[in-house]
Amino acid sequence: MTKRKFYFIISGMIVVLFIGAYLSIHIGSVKIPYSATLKAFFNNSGGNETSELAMFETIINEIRLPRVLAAILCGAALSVSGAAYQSMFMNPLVSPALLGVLAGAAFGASLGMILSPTMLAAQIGAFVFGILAVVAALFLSGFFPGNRLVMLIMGGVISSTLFTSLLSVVKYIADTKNELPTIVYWLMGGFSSVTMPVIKICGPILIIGITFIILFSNYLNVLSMGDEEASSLGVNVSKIRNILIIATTLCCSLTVSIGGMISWVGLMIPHISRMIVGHNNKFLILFSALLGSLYLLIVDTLCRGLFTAEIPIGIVTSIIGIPFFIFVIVNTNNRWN
Amino acid sequence: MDSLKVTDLSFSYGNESKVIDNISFKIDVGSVVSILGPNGSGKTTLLKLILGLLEPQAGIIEVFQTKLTSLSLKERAKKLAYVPQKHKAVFAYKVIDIVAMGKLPYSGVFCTTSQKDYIEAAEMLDKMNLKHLSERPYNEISGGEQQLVMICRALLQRAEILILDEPVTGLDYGNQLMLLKKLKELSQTGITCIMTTHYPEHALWTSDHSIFLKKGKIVAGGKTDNIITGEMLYKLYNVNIKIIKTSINESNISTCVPVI
Repeated sequence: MTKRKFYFIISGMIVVLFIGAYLSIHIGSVKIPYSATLKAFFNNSGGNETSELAMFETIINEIRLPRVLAAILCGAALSVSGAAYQSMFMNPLVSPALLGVLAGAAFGASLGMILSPTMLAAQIGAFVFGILAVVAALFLSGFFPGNRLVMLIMGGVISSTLFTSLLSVVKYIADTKNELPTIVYWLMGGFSSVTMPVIKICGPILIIGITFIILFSNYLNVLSMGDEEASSLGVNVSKIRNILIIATTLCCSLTVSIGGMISWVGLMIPHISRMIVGHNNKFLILFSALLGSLYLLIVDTLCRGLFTAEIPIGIVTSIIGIPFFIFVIVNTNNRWN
Repeated sequence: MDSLKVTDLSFSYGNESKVIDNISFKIDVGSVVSILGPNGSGKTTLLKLILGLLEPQAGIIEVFQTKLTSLSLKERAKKLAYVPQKHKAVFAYKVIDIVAMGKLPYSGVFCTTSQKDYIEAAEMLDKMNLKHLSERPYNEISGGEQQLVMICRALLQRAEILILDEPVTGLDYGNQLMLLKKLKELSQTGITCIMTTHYPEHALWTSDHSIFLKKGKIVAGGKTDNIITGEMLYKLYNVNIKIIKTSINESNISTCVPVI
């Protein structure tokens, strides 16, 4: 793919994303006229709005816009993290969950839920324990001699298993009337509880993380050729890998903080992107970010617009993900090694 | 002039016995050197030490009179290029993308490759008569072509020393000979080629000098024609091999014939 063609596609996707976001804001249990959206965005009413317009403004600014932004940011974060992990760990079947970040974040969120009635505790818990799980995986991998990459995966398996077990402990001791259903519902994923303050705090960090991964995307090609080859080409493998692990861990733990467990996005989107723009990470990462944003925006819109009751987004992403993944495996033409 | 000088080099993995045991040698600029030895003799470990992928417990490696340890990773990559054993990339990158990676030692903080790098990569492919492969997925070309692509990448690195780990392993006979011929041609342009091989006849055909390794020690080193003898091969591999010398088109050729 030529650079010119690629940037043409990227520009097109950005336009589609903006249109999609604008349309998504109007979809939900309360129908909002398109004219009201622009007024709400630019706060044209200046406080003299009618009660209906004030209601639309509140719905847009406090409910719809935060979740649209959350879907866009989480979709991009999960997709770039997945694509980066697949290259970094030289395995097309790897998802961002590899080093235990999602298991840790799920445990942290559930712990927060039983310790405090506010969602803030769950969000902070998810972020902190997501990072702790990856730190544990890195620490554990240091104990084993041998291939660094394999040992990292081993550390990730141990860390994931540990935090999944701890999550079971939390579920077991949770109050079955309130806490357990809340934990289970949270783990299904969703943006219904996202507020603007959460986006204002998490959004910039997510953007920084995603930007870092995009900026370092050129390293991913050579990292996917193996540590020895990358080193022989002058790349400081452990330094670059650690930078990418930190960026992806920040992104993934924040996505759990914002929207709970949203599975399959980090695995599926990079593969669709590979089919469209090829394997070169120079193009793949940026494309995955936009496609992931668009995908999660559409899925979230369907989740709240299809039925009167909202469907947890994690369920939908899994249902779409499984048949899609079968399609991908069938269509790889034995190009994975 | 020496392109590479190794002095009293020793290395072991953890607390195990020495894989490389106090070895020293020098390699002239523009020569082809084969490193031979039975499995587990330390050939690949030696290459990794030369490339700086492993840290020796003792000894000094000098590249063009500069200590390897005093060079940054990028500086090393500008002097030493690595052609790994036949392998398949996990993802189906285009051949041109793989070759353009040779410009990474010259790239900035974010490792970006420019349009100019791609033009140079295309020119290098053209020079190696591989232009037709440029847009093909690397995974879908033949083993011999893959090795040539790797050499192409190494040449784009503008390194003066090529380190090749068993470059002909897994290749058919035609590709083996094509690759060996290419190495000879490269050496004539002043590039030093250091390769490990399991085939003494390949050393006889292509190498000016050879090094015999056994249990991490050099058992023989010097001009290939002088050191590859039946006795030496018996000492190394424990099999009877005769060296047959013949003359074709006025050039002397030696080859190995196993006595079974």
